[in-house]
Amino acid sequence: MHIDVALGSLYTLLTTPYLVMLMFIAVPLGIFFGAMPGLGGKIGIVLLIPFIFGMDPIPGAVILLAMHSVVHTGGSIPSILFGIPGDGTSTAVVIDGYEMTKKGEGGRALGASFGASGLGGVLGAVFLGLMLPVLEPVILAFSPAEFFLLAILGITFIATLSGKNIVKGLSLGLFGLMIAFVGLDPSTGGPRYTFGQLFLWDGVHIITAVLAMYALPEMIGLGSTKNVTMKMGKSTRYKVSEVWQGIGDVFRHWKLSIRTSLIGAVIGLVPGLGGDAASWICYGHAVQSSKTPERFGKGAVEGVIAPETANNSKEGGALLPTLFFAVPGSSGMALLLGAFLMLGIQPGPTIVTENLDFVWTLIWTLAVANLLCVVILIGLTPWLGSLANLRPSLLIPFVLTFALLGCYLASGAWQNVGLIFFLACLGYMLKRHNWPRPPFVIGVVLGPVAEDSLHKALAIWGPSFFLRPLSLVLIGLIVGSIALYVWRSRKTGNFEVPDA
Amino acid sequence: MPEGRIVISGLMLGIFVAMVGMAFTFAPGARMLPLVIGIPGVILTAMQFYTELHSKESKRASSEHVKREMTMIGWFLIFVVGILCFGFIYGAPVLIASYLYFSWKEKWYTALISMALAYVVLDFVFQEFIGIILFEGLILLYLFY
Repeated sequence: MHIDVALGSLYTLLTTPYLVMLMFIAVPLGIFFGAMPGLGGKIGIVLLIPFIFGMDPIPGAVILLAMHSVVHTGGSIPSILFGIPGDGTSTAVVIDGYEMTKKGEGGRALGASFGASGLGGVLGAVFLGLMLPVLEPVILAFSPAEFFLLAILGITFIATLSGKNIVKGLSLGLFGLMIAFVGLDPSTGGPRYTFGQLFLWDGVHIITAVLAMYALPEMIGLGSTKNVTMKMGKSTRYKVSEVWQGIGDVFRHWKLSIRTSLIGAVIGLVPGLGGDAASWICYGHAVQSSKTPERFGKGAVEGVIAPETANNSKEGGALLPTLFFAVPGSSGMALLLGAFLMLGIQPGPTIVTENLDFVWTLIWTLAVANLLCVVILIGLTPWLGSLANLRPSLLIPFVLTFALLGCYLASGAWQNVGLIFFLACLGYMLKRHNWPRPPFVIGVVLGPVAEDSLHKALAIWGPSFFLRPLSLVLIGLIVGSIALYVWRSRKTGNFEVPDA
Repeated sequence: MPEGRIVISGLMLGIFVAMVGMAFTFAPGARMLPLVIGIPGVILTAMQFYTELHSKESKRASSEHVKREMTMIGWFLIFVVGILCFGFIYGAPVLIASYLYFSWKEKWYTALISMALAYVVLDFVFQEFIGIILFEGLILLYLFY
């Protein structure tokens, strides 16, 4: 383990005023976007993209990751206080968190949520740090042949997680790959799907694709729902002492907290499963492992702790495939990946050898941002009830503007502003008719990796690259993931993972 | 009028067919992957289209909701066209204020404050502080540059 690099990165992070200031900006932003129903972390990244344009890689990555890593903590606030989940991953917290609020224990529920989120975030970062030396030789053993198959595995895996919408999921995964082929062909240099437009020679930027498929359809959806202006609930003041009681609960249930943090981190590793699965699986685990399961659903504090630890620890796990294989585990990670590319950071196996200090900076950012978030939220406790007076609708035109700005800056071509309109309308129709969009994003991200790796693998080994030992393992995983889908869908009939 | 789910699956099928058709015009080396990926895409979307055509499921949205969706998409189009014509610095603040005032019936001072905030962020923060030159808009470019 590279202790010197790890400690050096922590020292740099904590002693560089600029980085500390960025975290102090990013964490409240993350809390805010998480707490606003209908917005969430992806919209937060969208709004930050124009601001990080031109930044150095480390500050840019620190502000993005610090914001992204605390979004779920913010999302638990409206879930607990008003019974309205800030984002999809916070729905499991509503069950017991809101019941606690109705019983007059809102402050304690908030404390349990903050403490669990902080602990989960730190343990997720520790998990990532500990996995680094274990995975390093595996990552470095990957050749273009394995990267091609890994890209296919990523798409297959996520498409099979589309549940009963497997055909839609696979179709959109393939559509994402087709969109990735727009631009100049890497082997012949000939233009593909460019319609004679120079701005398309560089392809459709991942930021444009993700904004069109996620941020803008969400805004169209939010703008079409007039009731977002309604007050979220009753504004109440909460005592800091109640919050401390809740934080104490996390440590009183320390075995559960550690178990669910680890489960969350492992689930985060699996592309496509996402936060919803992590929080629900851990909630289920808390119920199953409790000696008094009948208390759940009626305001049990463990029902807040379990999903919250998982929600934050999964970010550590999800960074692993994103950073080392350029396979984003979720749409949020895909957006983060796109932003990293914009900053000049190239995720992939070489990051371990060439940018290890950067990797460790990200790991520490995860841990420090989660701790900072807890401190800030404890300070803000008396005023959290006034969230009821905020209106997410006011942000819609700003998000539209910043999404268009992000799209323009990502590629530097004004024509992209027109292109994104058509893609976003398509994205909204797909969202409206329940086409699972994560496979599309993964397809766009992995398309260039798949094509480039295939050409290299064919040039080095010819078609026999499929017979390499590691290739056979990956082919086995691809076949296994499809077989698992068939088995699960026969068994349960309606196995489905939400739009991660 | 066919249901939205049929329209979207038909649209996806159309997109795949067009992309596969276009792939045949590429050089042999360049068309390999678009065909390898596109042909299964045509098959899958055709299956989905067939399923939707023969599905008895009916989930028509209320006309009120469709009207709101169309209004929102209309506003999105206005934002795109407005920014393309007048750029980010001048177009976006006016569009933000107009959207809040006309679509959400916000108070005029809320709209004005939002407009001022947007202008400050776009001009002072991006152009002056960060030093990014934002798109000026096609009409303003034509008139003044």
